[in-house]
Amino acid sequence: MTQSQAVTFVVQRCSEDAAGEQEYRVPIRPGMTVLDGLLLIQKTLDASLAWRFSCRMGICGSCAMVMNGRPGLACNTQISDVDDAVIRLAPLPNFRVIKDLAVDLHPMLEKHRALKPFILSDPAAAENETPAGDDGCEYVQSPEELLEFLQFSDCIKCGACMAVCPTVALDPQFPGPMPLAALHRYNADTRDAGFRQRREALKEFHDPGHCHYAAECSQVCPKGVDPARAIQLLKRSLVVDSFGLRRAGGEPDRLPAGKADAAKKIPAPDYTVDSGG
Amino acid sequence: MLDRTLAWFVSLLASVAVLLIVGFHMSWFSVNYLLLAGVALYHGCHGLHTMLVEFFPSRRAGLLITSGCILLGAGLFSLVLMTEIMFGVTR
Repeated sequence: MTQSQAVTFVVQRCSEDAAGEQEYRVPIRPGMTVLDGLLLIQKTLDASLAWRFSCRMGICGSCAMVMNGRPGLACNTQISDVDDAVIRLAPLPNFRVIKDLAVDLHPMLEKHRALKPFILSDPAAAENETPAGDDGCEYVQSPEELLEFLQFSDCIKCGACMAVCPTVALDPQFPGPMPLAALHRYNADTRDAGFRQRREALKEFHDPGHCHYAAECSQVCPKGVDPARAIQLLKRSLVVDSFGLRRAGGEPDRLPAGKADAAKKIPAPDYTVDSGG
Repeated sequence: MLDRTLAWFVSLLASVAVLLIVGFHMSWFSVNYLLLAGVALYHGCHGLHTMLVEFFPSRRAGLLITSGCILLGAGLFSLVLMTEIMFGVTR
């Protein structure tokens, strides 16, 4: 790719300023991302173009949009990886468009919140125990236990999975891949005892059995979370629980502050940096 | 009443049961036939219910659809049962 090259951005507009598709000819340089292209358009060609962005490095999940038919993050997608000539940009489907490429993520986030995506301590043990942190106790978790949910905790709530889910497209009562993957992430955490409470919360929505396993959510996830797998694991745990065969998991291992390392030496997993200590 | 997860799982089992029953020996034809009709109707009605509640997601519509599907399944199975008892069409 040379300095003089340019691509055409075809942006789906939806605002008071413009509606329909609008074309912009943008000069590009090697390594330029779709977000860089949009910023250049806004700076030099059309200040009225609207979209959402923040971190510029694939962490915040704000700049999710459809690029040449495929949802992804504009900030970590290079223009050369999408197309050399025409970049078609559209807002995420299955969401209400606020303006141009910015969509309303509230329905997704409300479902996420309703399914209690946080560590819940055991209500029965709550009388005698204080939550971790209050008494300085530490939860002990082995690398194997961590790996049960680590992949699912990488979700940045960008909404790309929701945009491609055929069930979400049709059924507003279906929680969708992101909230269900988050639900499973906490169910699979050994520090958590909130399976029953989340199951109750899930009754407000259509059952995860409505997931047809198209698995497109896992294909488009920019963080490799694999929500489709999380939903299948969630379905399995719900079925096992329905038959009364789910293991309660017991009390999480807790140790007084500063005693965790001495009492239970846990080897560092491969993906951590060896401190040498 | 089955919980929703269990109803979905039984529907999956019913689809496997349909395949197995179809492959059974025919010496117990009437029993096989009624069993096949039962599991196939359950599987079909559950699938129909799932599709309809996705199209009409309100809680009120969900109740109507669930009741309708149960009545439809039970009605069709009763019809099969009565036909078998009265006329023995499968013999």
